[in-house]
Amino acid sequence: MKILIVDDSKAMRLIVMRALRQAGFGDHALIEASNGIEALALIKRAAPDLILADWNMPQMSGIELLRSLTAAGLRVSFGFITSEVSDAARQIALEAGALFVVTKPFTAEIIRANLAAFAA
Amino acid sequence: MLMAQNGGVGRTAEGEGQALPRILCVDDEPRILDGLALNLRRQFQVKTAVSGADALAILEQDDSIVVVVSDMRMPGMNGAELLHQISIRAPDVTRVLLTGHSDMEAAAAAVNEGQIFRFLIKPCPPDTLTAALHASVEHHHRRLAERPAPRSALAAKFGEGDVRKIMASIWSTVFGLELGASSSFRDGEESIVTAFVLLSGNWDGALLLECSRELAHRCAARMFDVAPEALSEDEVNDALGEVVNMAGGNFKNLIHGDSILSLPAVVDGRGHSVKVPGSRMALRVAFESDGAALQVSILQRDVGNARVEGS
Repeated sequence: MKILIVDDSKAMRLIVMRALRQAGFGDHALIEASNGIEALALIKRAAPDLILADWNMPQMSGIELLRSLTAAGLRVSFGFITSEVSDAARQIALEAGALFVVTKPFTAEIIRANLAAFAA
Repeated sequence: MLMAQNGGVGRTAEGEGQALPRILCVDDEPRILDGLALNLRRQFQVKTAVSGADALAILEQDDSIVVVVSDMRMPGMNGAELLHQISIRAPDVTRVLLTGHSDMEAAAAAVNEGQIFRFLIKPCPPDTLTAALHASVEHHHRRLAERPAPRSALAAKFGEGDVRKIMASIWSTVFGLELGASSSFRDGEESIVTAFVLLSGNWDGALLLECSRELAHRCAARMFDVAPEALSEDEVNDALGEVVNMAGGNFKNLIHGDSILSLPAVVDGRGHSVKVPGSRMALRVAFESDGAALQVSILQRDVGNARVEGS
């Protein structure tokens, strides 16, 4: 399985990858993008199975990325990992088609629980 | 001309000491108002008005009225028009329309336009009327409860304990470090770094995190899982920015403010201070991590009546 991590912070991408490894996803291909636009190009090229995206990012936010994918007819499993923790934001995310919203800070356990459906 | 004004200030047996909900009845026939006031006085504080203009004048002076019941047919402003006006001027007041059979169409239109909560057909049995009025009072309270809290009410919703909890959770999950309490943050000889996020919207202000550059470096190294000396300044700032962004996101949820979180920023150097014009220091909490001190400050900008109402 290929997992794309989209976050403008390198530190956060590392944290997400570390949590993924701790949650048992270390054997999967983990690829990175630092904003929505970069991610969009990468998704078309690399066809990831799962996208884990931040909400607030320069150039193209996570929710814009998700909507762009839907508009382009690209159906990829999508989850948010974000500091945007309001119920309203969660609602928007789920309505836009996100599978889950993990709020920062998160533990490897939380990642494992949310990604249970993807575990081999 | 007003009739039987303030007909009931009595108390119900079970609601001892609790004020009865105040309602306003509007009809151009004083006899009908009299009857209404008499019927309802045990359960409501009844005010009356003989015209739409009268009703609007009373509502302007008395903001404790929660429900208006109006007859449809009145000279000048009819009931639907009156309730429409009230929906604009005092949207929290629940509106009930009383109509005869011949006015059903107009009543249906009023309901569909969302101007009224209930419409009742005359002659209306007293039980039906009181049941509708109780439902209206409840509707009013529900409406108030569901409304986002005003700025002034947001002010008191966070405290030191909340900030400690947020920071401790970040520190343990991101850095694997315990975050202790400290009585003070000393601005010593070291270089201090301040990371902050701004919040704007329903709640305006900023969340600041200050610590020594040395501590920031050590924490970032844990975040990146490398030796401290292998990190660039940008990477340290990135780590710190993410931490303050997380803190801001969690803080925003705490105040239930419909606010937007800015990108994080980091200020570096000695003797600097970050100010948000018009804000005051709402909270300052000192911590200790790994033998070094750090501090979180909440700057809050008070707008409008918040300053007057706040204690």
